[in-house]
Amino acid sequence: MLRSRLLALVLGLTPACLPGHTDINETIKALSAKIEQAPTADLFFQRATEYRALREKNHTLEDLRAALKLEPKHRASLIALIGELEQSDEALATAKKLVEDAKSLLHFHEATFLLANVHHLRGNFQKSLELCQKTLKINSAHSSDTYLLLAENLLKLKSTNEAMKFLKETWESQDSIVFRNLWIDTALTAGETKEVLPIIEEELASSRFRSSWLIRRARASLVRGKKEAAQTDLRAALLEITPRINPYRPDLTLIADRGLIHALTGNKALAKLDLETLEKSGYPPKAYRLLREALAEE
Amino acid sequence: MKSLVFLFLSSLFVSAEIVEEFSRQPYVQLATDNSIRVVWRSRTEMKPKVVFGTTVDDLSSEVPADQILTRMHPSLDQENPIFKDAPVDTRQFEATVTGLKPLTSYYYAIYDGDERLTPADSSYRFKTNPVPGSDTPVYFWVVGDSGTGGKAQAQVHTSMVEHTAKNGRPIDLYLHVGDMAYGSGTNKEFSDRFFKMYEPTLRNTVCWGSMGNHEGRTSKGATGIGPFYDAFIQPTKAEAGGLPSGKEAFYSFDWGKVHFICLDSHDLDRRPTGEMAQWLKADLEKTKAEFLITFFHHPPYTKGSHDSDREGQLIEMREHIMPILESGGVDLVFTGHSHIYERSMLIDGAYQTPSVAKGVILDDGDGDPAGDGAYRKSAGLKPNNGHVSIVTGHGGTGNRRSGTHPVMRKIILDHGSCLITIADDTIKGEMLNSNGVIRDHFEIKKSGEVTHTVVENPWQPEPWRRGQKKPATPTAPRNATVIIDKNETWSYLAGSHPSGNATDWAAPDYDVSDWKNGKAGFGYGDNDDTTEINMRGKFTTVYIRKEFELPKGANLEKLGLHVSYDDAFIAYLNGHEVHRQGVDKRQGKDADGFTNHDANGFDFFPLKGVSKILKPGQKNVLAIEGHNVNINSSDFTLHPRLLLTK
Repeated sequence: MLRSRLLALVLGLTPACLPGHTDINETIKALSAKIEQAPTADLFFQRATEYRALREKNHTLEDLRAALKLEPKHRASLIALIGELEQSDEALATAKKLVEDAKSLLHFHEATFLLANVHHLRGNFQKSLELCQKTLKINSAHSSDTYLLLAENLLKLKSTNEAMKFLKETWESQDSIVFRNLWIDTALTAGETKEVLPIIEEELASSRFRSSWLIRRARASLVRGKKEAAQTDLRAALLEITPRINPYRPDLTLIADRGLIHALTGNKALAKLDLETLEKSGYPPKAYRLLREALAEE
Repeated sequence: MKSLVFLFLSSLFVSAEIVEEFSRQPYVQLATDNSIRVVWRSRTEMKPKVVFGTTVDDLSSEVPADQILTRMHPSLDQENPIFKDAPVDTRQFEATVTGLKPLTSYYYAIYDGDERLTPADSSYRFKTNPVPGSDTPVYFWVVGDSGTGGKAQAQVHTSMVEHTAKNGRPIDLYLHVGDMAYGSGTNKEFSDRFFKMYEPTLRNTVCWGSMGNHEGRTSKGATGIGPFYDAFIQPTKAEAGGLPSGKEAFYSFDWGKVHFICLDSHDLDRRPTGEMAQWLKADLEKTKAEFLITFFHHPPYTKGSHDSDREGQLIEMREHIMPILESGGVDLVFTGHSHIYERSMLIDGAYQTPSVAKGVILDDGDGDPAGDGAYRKSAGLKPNNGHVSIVTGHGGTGNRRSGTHPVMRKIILDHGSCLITIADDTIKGEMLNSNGVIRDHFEIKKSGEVTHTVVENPWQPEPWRRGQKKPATPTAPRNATVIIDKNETWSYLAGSHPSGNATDWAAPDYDVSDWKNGKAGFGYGDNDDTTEINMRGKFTTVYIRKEFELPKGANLEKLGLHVSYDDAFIAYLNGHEVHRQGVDKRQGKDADGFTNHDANGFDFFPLKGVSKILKPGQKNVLAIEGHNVNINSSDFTLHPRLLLTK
């Protein structure tokens, strides 16, 4: 989520004079020639964005720092630098500086979110939570990234009931189905089934692929002590999900689902194999949080 | 039916007029099976009124005033402002027309109070979508990277308009894969390079947009703020089908039995933990459509003006988003960004970096029913059953190629766009160039249960050397006298070589009485041939010759060949070789060293030093041998003209 916000901020700040009809190598070449003649912060920043597209991190950092040397308050470079440095001390210091230097409410809102994300990455979930709440007070519209980060902080702080309530309210105000599904998953983690079970049943009746909903109903059944019903749903989910997985190049979201099915059916060894696949692939751990939690419970 | 066709044809040719009162001409957005939005802009105050009806002369229904939203500059409108770069006096009106019947054509007019602003004209119309799930054929246009405001963009649009008019079938909808308003997607660039350029199509056909990197310089996917999001009204609450995304940046909609998904590849998190990927997975699990089309800006597979093995956004779309789409059963993926036309074979699981062909090609044919045959897939949306990926970034800006992507079946450097038909169980795809020529044709037939195995040693496209460019060829001079025109009748020999020595057949007195006669052009596979020659897999050379006379007093040193060719040829005048193109060595059956070339219009070659060969006032013979680089090549073209320049 930091990435999307950063991308939005940085690209929004990208000067309009960037060449548009050449490939990246040519653009870098042209920018390098201009930098050699008369270096400016904008030019270094532009070249940094091209290097970032090529995933050349060292070059990206070099150019961002060069931009900030020429113009210490160059906002686009500060934002991009925070994104590149992730949870480092330098990222934290830069984010704080961005908040301090904010010249408008909009800038303050954006900078506070970035600072919240750095704190989250550093494991300071309480601080991150407070900053998220602060940014939503400033502007609650168009802030789905902040809502997601806030919910993530609550879950990290084990405030599951609060997270559930928050996600439900967010679903009702933000329209995104993602918040509804997160609310349902969180409610099940919190042991609440009454409100979400009718939705699960409705989705099971109307969806093409039912495995996600079968897993959710199984989780609800486990909460309600109906182990056999849970096993029936999990077996059906596994049956449906198996042919959807390309054995050589799988959709890893389905591996996370399959791992969870294995974990909930007690096939710990198979669940761990799927977990290993996900970990080796570099898949973001947040994408298989439920699998890790299920294995931890075992 | 005939009257409908007439209405369509007449509206195309009479109605591109501009109504002065509008600073942005009326256009339609967000069609559903029972509603649509009519949007326009004005620089003056107005009492907006929209009337509509099912016949052009009976617009008896009126949109209630509370269903017309007026948006203004942020200095005047805090609640629903348009972006700040619009002139301060700009007003954007968005009328929501509701209570409509599915799959029905309506006509509309816009009034300022009692004054009618739009003319009584059948081009001001819209058509509602069919009921989701219903079996209705759909015909749609896909364009990318077009927004220069230049000649090529206009030609690509005109080409589509003329092509659909000729066939009597208007498009049902229009997808734009981004970069529709160079250089930064500003308000003015949108007005000049998108809205003005696509009149009158936009007034009666909904364009569903995906934001490109150029629009991304002023608009933000995360907030839905900017000129792009003012121009497009996209679903956030599943208004047109699919699941609610809460964002205009990514959304889905249904059109009959087809599910369309638009993603933002530019400035949102592309990882599986991101909101977009989570929504995508949920949306794919929900849909019960039979066909699935996805479009976004950054291509997962390309070696055009961008390289999908090197650039972050492209790699992430391939590594993170494509697995979700393919396990959801996607059929077609349209993208742009790379200024080229590249169309893949039937592929699945091509996620690794760098991309390779091994293990990911399910059908290495050309997908053309007249060639290797249509691709086949199971009925419905079967996971990992193969999809075709299309880069259609050739809608108007400069084309460029940097290499050869191993999953591609067709790679064409030519301005154009894509026209897609989905009817019964078949998807038919065509690439229409800016001259109105179909340069690629493929089909996907979805029926029964189809199980693919990976092609072990798949067909591979011709390699491309870095720095290799198409040699510049001069265009034909204006006011040239035509000696042999297009589509004239020639003698031709196909499937064998002429008797005698290598060039005997080109001499004036050579007997061709046993050759066939046919109209130029000669060839196959690219829909630009009048005389189809079934030579694929059989032979590579075709011989043609034609007699001609020169006008008295002609300057014989001003003769030139104007030819559309694929791939190579040698030309002879009265038995003497006068030009060779793409053939390194020898001639006839011994010819060797061919260079790949796509027939991209006509190229002009002056014929120097031919005055002594020619016979004014007598019979002369132009003879040409055409060569294909490969016996299994997907196409061949030989279509010459002979010109006498001034």
